[in-house]
Amino acid sequence: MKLLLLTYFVWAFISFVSPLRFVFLLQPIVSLLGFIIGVNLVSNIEKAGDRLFELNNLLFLDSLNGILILVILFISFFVSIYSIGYMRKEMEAGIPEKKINEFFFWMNLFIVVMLLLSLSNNFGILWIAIEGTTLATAFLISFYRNKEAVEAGWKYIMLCSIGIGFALFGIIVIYFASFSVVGEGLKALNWTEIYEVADKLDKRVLLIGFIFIVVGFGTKVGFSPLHFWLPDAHSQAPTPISALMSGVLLNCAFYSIVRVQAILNHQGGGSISDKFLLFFGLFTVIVSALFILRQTDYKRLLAYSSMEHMGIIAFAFGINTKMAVFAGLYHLINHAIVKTSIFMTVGSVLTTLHSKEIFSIKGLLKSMPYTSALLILTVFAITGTPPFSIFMSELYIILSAFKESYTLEVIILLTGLTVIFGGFIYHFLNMVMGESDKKYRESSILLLPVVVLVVVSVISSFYLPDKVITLINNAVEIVGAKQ
Amino acid sequence: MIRFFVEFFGAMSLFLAITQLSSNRLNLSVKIYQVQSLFLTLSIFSIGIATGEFELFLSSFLNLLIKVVLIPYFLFRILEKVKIDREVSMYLNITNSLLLSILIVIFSFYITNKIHISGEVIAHQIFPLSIGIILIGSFIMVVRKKAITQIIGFLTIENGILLAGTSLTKGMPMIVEIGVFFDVFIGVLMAGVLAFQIRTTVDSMDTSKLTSLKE
Repeated sequence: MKLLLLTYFVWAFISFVSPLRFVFLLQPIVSLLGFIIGVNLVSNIEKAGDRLFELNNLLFLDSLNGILILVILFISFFVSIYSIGYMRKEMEAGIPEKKINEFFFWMNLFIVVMLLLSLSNNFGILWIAIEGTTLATAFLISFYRNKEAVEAGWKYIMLCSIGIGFALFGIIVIYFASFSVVGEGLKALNWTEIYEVADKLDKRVLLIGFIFIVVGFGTKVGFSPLHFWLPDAHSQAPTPISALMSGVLLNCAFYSIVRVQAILNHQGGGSISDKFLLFFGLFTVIVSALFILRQTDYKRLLAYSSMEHMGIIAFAFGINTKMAVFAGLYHLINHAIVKTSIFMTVGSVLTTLHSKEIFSIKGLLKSMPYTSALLILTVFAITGTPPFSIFMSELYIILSAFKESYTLEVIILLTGLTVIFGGFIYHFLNMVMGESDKKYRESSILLLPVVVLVVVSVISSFYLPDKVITLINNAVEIVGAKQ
Repeated sequence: MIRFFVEFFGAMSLFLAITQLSSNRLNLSVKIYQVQSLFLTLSIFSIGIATGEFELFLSSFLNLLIKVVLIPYFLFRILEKVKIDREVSMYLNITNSLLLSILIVIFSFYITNKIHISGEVIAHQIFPLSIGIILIGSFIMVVRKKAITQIIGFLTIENGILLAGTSLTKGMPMIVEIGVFFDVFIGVLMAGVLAFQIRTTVDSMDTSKLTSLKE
């Protein structure tokens, strides 16, 4: 784990000072290396109780964050490849080389803090890492330095810092609950220590902590009344970063809520915390459906779609049965894959046309045939149409909700999903259809990662590697879902 | 005796948070924040004397270094650069915001009365005070428009959280404290840079003029 963090950390600084050709060459190699190290690490984990510790128990790896690590490394590998093509196009458009060095520096730093976040055993360090993600992406969001970008960056850093401040308060409350049992010092913040003694902790104090943490980290996840920074930030950032933020960062933030929920489940206080997640999940889906309908900017539309999917995952964790949590984690993986691919296709459109307006783009099928074919595929994938894997995980979530007789909630959720499907088809068909006499050059390095990810999405709808299934099953046990 | 000092310094921090609402000059706001951080430092220091924890002395020293010296220095530099000193644009005038701050303080005492804190707590009254500081910090961010005042509002919230942390738990573990200080410091630096960029792109420090991204 140290090796993994160190690789990316050192590489971040090297990529800042090296000439660009060197960076372009090594970025995919380093991220591939990281992925291999990650797979190697995770392969050590067999059973639900298996944990690897490092650095005085400050870093640990079990099945739950094993999944997250694999997702982060997998997605960042593809984003690394994509960002090379993207940045080449940006250079043609006149962005200076120094800024591209800066971009790679912040992007690698961003990946490092996300890895630290998910590997950390300690709530304090987890908090520091989440605030670190805010800082690492703040300058990336304002990368283009125009009026909108600066505004988005400002909103992002302010709202997220306040939100995460509340989460810090929640962590202090949890520390207050645990240090009378575990004893003072760093280990009273260690997740594994708190988890062991969970049934001895004061239930009410823990619940107060949970509420603060849901609100705090929920700001980062983009739960609905707290989401106002999200569409701005995700739409203004350079597209590789949008993909990383939507596909991975939101999962990381949600993961930190899940860790606390696991403690509450473990000590029998889970039924109240479920309701919070259920409420936030449904509300987020509904609100994002409404905003998707009247969107005019396709990157903002995708940002709202990320909110929707986080809402669905929160809904699954709110139902909190074994099947629902399994489906939630499965959905988390699928969403990361598909959302990255759709952001990448849309990013190719953006670098070629330099417009984010849905209604000013027409006839993409004529002018960029391959890209728009992929765009149509990814649109179907993200809205949960078979044969893409998001359909499967949504189906599982809905079935498990029916099983627990959350009928009304499911009906609301399905309404939201239908509206979103309609909105997506309407907006993107508008862009794809129509006449156009221009013909743009499409670069294969921008399209190749998308093709691979779409294929992966189709495959994972009916086949998951045994290893991944074991990891998810173990994770369900760790979260401590009901029967 | 020591409990009196802890509570006194905490109360002074709350008082200064309220004073923040009455200032309409950015320079003065930064100075008030500086003094507030100084009182916070003293409060942590007295808790350190009361409990004899070495880590608290370290954390009060870091507090002194970062929040009393470095952050205000940086904010003063920005103010010099942008040459704006008057906060003329507020959503709520000073009198009304002061009146509302009374309600906020009463509210924070009321809700913390409901929560029963069991276990060993150094000074019970510090908890409502810190909740008050947190809420007033959020209030500052809501009613003021200038980017710099919003940063100060955020810093006030952070001070409140730190005060609550030290009074509830004798301080977080050292590594975590250092990390939090570091994050806040970097965060303020970046927010300052962004505020400066707002000044150059929008030609004003007024965050209510940031309206190009709206639904």
